Amino acid sequence: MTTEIEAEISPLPERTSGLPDSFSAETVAILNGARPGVVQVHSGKRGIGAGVIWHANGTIITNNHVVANGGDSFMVTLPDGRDFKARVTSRNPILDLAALKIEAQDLPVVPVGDSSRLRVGELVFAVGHPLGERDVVTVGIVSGLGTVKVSRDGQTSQYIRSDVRLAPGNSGGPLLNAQGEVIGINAMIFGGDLSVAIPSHVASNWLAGVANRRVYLGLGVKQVKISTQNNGGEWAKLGTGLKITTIVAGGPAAKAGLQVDDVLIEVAGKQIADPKGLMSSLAQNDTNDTVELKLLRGDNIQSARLKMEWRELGA
Amino acid sequence: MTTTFENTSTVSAFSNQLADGVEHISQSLVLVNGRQRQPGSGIVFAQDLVLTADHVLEREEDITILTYDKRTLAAQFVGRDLSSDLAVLRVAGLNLPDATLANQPARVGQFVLSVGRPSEDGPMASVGIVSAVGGPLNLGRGLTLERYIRTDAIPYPGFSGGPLVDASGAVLGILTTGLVGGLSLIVPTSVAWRIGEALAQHGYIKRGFLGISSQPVVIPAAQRGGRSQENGLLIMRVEDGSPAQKSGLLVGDILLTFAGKALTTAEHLQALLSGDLVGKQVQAELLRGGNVQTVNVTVGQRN
Repeated sequence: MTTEIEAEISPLPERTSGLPDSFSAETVAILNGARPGVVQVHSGKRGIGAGVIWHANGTIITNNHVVANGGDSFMVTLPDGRDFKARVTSRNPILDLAALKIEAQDLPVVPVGDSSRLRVGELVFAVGHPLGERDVVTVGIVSGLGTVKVSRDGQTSQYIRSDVRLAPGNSGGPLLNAQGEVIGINAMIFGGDLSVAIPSHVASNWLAGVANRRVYLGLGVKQVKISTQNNGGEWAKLGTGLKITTIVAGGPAAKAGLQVDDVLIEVAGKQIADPKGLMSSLAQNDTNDTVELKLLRGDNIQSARLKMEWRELGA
Repeated sequence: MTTTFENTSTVSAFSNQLADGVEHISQSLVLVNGRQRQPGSGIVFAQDLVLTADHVLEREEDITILTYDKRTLAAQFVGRDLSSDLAVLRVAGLNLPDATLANQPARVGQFVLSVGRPSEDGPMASVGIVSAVGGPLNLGRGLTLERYIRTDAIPYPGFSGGPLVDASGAVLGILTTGLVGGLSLIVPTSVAWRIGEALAQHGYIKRGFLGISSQPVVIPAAQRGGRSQENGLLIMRVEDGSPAQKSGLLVGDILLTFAGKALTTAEHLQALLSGDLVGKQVQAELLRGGNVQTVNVTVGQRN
């Protein structure tokens, strides 16, 4: 009688493919190629997210939620250690995309891949700064492709789901394909298990769209000091506002009931100090058709709703 | 299949292989609508037959499936097996290719994809490696899973009933989170397909039955009689009228072998008492009063 013991370890199979080290060497090369174009976006000392250098002339794409708070000015740190002041040039809360501009030339870009041809199962890499740790790389695959409703009026947006491990701080960073091209902007993390990225073709189309249009208000303004004698000095701390000097008949400002000599002090909940700030805060919100204004008319603070109009540039 | 060869690097080739693997299995992968919340997944394993996880079926009627080519079809419940959490559905007019089976069992360290169809958005997949292969696993309530695979690929909601596949899209097993407290386990194809075929044929799984309670004990060295086997199963209880009693097994006997296989754990005996042995007479060796004896046992059927 023999005692049979079941084998728990299967025999070693014959080797079927190339050297495993060449695989790792390639993934390292792919990531080294992309990493110079992945920046950190922060306000002051604290890292809040990542961004992707889209154009060599300083256009950076990140998530809107990365730059949702803290005004229009952020700092961008390049992987080579250089710091730049960054201006938010456009934002879209529904797509969760924002474009930043830094004053620099010949920056290393991350090549943009064709996310419309992605397939479930493709290898993907994420680069970002999870929980503030710089330049962390994770790997996974495209888990799913789909559309999600992004607004109450039924507007949908495409998304990429992946199983790469992400954490806060990855937001705004790239999802790369096996060629090292950016095919998505990492945006959301659900329960640690499911990461969602905005396809790069959505980002490209959005960027091309916003670059070609400007908000049109139909008014002229100049910066003025706000008088401290009225309203118990409540508005004095603002220092400056924007006095309306001209109103185009039939334009958006006229339709909103604005008048010459009104002083704009707040747009979309944000204090406005100079004309540049006015245009950027309006341009940044390209999804909201109407915007709330606060203004000083004589001694009184008034509210107005302005319906924005857009003009194509050089069309 | 839309394999692309833009780039001949190994990483690109592997990436394409994974995507091809998902595409390949996707045709045999269906969404299973049999409960209120999140639908489950299922896999075509024979003509018009779908293997799925039993726990994603909260009802036996009004079950529908959704195919990769967007057809919604009515599915008829055929049978279930509690020891593997598998169930079989018959879908008239399904007419989809059977899933391809991997030609060798899962190996620890092998790259794998966990695939499911949890929504109408198309297949979903996660990647990982085979983390462990083990079994038998005591599930309680007298149930034993013969063999299982574990992976670190994420089991997304709705993946139960879907396959674990190798990088070519060939099936290694069926995933379920319904066996052990939400833990994701994969029932290997060697077990799952046999159960699937038995369910398709009979509607239920025959299980062997002896009618004893036992616990593993160390066999005194002096009583091993030259065997290398160190443990046996001490019989603690013999049910009245059971096959064990009829064959003369007594409380205090130490079972050494059953049907020629060494017994060291109760799970091991459970796994051996598969449906094929029902009604058959097998030999059991036991230690009684310091002597090895052989008895013939006719395996009964558990209801």
